[in-house]
Amino acid sequence: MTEFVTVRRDALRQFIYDELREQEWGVDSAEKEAKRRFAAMIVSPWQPIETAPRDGTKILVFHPDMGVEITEWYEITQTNYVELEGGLYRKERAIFYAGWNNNGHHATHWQPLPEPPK
Amino acid sequence: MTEIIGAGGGGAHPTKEHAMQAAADRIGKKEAHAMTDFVTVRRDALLGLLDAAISPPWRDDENTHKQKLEKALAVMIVSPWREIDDEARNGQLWLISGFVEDNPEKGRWVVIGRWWPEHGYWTSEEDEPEGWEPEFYPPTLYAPIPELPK
Repeated sequence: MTEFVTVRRDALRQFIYDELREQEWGVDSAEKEAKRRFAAMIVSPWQPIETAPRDGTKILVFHPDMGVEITEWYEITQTNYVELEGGLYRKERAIFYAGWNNNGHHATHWQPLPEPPK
Repeated sequence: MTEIIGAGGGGAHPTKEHAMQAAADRIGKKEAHAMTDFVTVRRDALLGLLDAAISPPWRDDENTHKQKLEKALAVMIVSPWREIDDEARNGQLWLISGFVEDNPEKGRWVVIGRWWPEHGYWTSEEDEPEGWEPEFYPPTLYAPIPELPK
């Protein structure tokens, strides 16, 4: 899975600009190029809901009508008994219901929760 | 209009690490805490940028280079979490986080919530995490809710 990180907008732009200046770019051209390179680096942390982890990890989700919520994928399992020969049965775990908590089933996008400091 | 994003040039700092730290310190003093002050980038793209910046004409040994990269990365990456302060109690929704020792999720929980001035405690928009009584276990950290997707 692609890993994203959060950085300060101004720090990143300044860093790119300083790099260009160090490579002897002129002030104007460095500013222009820094803007271009900065814009090219930025991505939206929101990803299509289809790619969200379905392992119980809490995530942030978005839907235009509900805004942002925290949700997680959950599964309710049940035991089925499969009849075998000789009057024996084998236990099988099957998913009875699976879905997103809260309004997650309406979500269109997701992103990881920012990790709290340790 | 041309937006000035820097007026300095090369040579102001003895090493790239100093320049990086100086840039981070300079920006850090602004105490910005809106989600618009942060941007999301791919980790590998940022690493590539830093890798190019800290590579001297001669090549460090692998370990030294890796350490320099990790240090540079740590300087650039920020956490949106801040300790609860007066600004957090302005009634708007935040991501809030706290720690309860007997919480099944290793103690740390995160919910979307707000300060409820009429009652003087935190309230959540969702089901409260097990073991969390906001009056007795108030959150310790808050972060802005991310900008909505375009």
